[in-house]
Amino acid sequence: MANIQIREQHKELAIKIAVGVGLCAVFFHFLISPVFSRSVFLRQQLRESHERLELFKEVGRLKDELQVTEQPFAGLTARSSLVGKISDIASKNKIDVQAITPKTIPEGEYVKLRIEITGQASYFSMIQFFKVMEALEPPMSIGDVSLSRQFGTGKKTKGILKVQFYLETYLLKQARGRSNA
Amino acid sequence: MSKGVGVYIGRNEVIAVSAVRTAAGPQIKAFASEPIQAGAPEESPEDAGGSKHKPLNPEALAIRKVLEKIHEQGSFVTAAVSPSLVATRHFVMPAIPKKDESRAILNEATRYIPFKLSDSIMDYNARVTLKNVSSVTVTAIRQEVLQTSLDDLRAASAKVLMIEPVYCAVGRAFSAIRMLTTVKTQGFVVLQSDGNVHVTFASNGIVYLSRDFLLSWNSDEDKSRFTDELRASIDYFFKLTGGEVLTQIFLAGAGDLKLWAEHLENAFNYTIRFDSASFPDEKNIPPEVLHSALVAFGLALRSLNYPSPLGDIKLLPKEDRKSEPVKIMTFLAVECAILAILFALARLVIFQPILTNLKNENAAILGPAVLENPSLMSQSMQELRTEKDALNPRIEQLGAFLQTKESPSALLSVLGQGLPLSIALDQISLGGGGGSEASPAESMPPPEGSVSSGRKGKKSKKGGKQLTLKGVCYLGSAEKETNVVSGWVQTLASRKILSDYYSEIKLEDVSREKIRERSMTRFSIVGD
Repeated sequence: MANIQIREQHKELAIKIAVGVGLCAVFFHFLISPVFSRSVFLRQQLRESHERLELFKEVGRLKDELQVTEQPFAGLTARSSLVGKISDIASKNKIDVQAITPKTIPEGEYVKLRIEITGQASYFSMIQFFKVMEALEPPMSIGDVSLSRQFGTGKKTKGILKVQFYLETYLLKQARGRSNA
Repeated sequence: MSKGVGVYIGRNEVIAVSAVRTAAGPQIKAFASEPIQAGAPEESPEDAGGSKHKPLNPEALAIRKVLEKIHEQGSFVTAAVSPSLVATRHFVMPAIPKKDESRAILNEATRYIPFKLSDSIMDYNARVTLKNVSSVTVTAIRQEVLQTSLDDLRAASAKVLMIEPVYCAVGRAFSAIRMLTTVKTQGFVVLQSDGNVHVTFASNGIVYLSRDFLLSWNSDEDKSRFTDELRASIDYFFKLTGGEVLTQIFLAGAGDLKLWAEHLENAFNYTIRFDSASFPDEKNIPPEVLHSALVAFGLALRSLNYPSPLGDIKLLPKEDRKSEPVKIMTFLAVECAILAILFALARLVIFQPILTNLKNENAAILGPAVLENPSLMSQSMQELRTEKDALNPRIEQLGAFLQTKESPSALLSVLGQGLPLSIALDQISLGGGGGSEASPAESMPPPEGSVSSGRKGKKSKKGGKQLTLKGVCYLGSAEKETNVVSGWVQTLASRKILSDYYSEIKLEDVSREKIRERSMTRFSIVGD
């Protein structure tokens, strides 16, 4: 093996290079490296900003949509007045209400009000009543309609049907702040 | 550097001096000499951990001891070896342009230097004396000798800054103590303890003669030899310089210099003045000791940046020279500054704009939105997601409710229109719908006479809606009654409102029944 002699200047050069490399590492660590982590952070922040903005817009849109959707629905406190109103409409439409049974069932953020009605009425009274109900605010869903002919000889029962159906609507748990607009 | 250390490695002794620069001039801080004991057993120095290194030869051992004595182990030193190991020659040559000067002088020097160019280290001092004539002094040392001296010094823990010829150190020492007057010519004689006498004659900073001769330690014989050798040298110098006359010669080194000075002045009929070094600030050091330490003192002064009037010859090859700590530190500081500037520039010019762009982009997205909706930043992303997740089901719930709303009034109207007179309906059931999961059969009892309750649990094709119509038809003929009922079913199925709600309307059951002595057709129509 060749006799390799390390000269003083070689040592000093090695020291200078080593110090240079060390300084490069230190400067890279303190000046450049933070840029990468900062850049990653800012890019993430940028993505988050986009996402936040989209989300904020979406939430706003949903709030508006919900407000519009909830607009016709009544609050929970309107339950008894609503039952009374339906009873009143039924009477006005010549429906002889024999039983009206309101029932509330909590469903998510709302309370479902189901009013089961049994009574007697003519076919056309029922059509008229349903028309009023369909146009009523809060919106009412009419279900399980059953009209049955009553068998009898008396004049009173002629053309009178035994009727059974339910009305459903949602009541808002919290009182909604209605805008004047 | 405020301190310098010089080490002179003679043939039989090593002398070391540490000197400092003061306002009054250079001062000796410490000095010591150590004989080189040729037959001394080699020692192995121990480090702090107690482990032994390579054994030291007598020269290295003497250097180590002498450095220990002056408390300068591991110091940066300037060293010189015995002048008998160094060859110095003077010659003249045509003036050469600077860029070719070095190569030309070294080539010319091979004619005068008794060593092979490849085996020696050379340095020169050149001055243009006459028009187009350079006066050159070349000093050379054999590489082997130099390497041995370097190894000895390094083995003794010294950090070698430079190795130079003795005459440079002597000239520097006399110059530093302000003994060199403005005379054009100077002579330096260094007597060494081994009997070697080194003679150097210079004019205008150019060394014209540098030679050695040996004394035999016989007083009378030595006096005569000294005078003869000196006279011959002076004559040779006279010839070389074209008539330059030496008027002053400085004596340094070991021995009784005062006696030698008296003898020589007498021998030269007082035409030449012989002076030895005098140190006005070193009263407590015996003169003979100071004279013997003069070479090492001159070497130490090199580190204190005292120039030699005879030129600062460098016998240490460039690659073997140890840079002064100040120079290294300066280089490292400059390196650090350059790298710091480069990295800072890279940061500011390349990377900072990227960050700024990202920040601006972010601000451009959020800024106007925040102005419009200050609450944008008040909620966390998670809160926004939770809010969105909470809103969706509410909208879906109400949407589903509104979408599945039936219109029983329209259905009943359609059923009533076009009902054949022969048909009497007993029961109409509009099941399902309304978004209600519970069937009427589960929630309320069926009305009297109703026969549709048995189907109410069935799922229909269109959103769970189901139509059941039950009744009777009387025309007096079973065939006619069946045809009327079938025809009515077809009419119903063709009605748009019914086909929207029910995908299929069919006659499910037809039977003959006697009611009050009349046979009638009882039927059941189902819409799914």
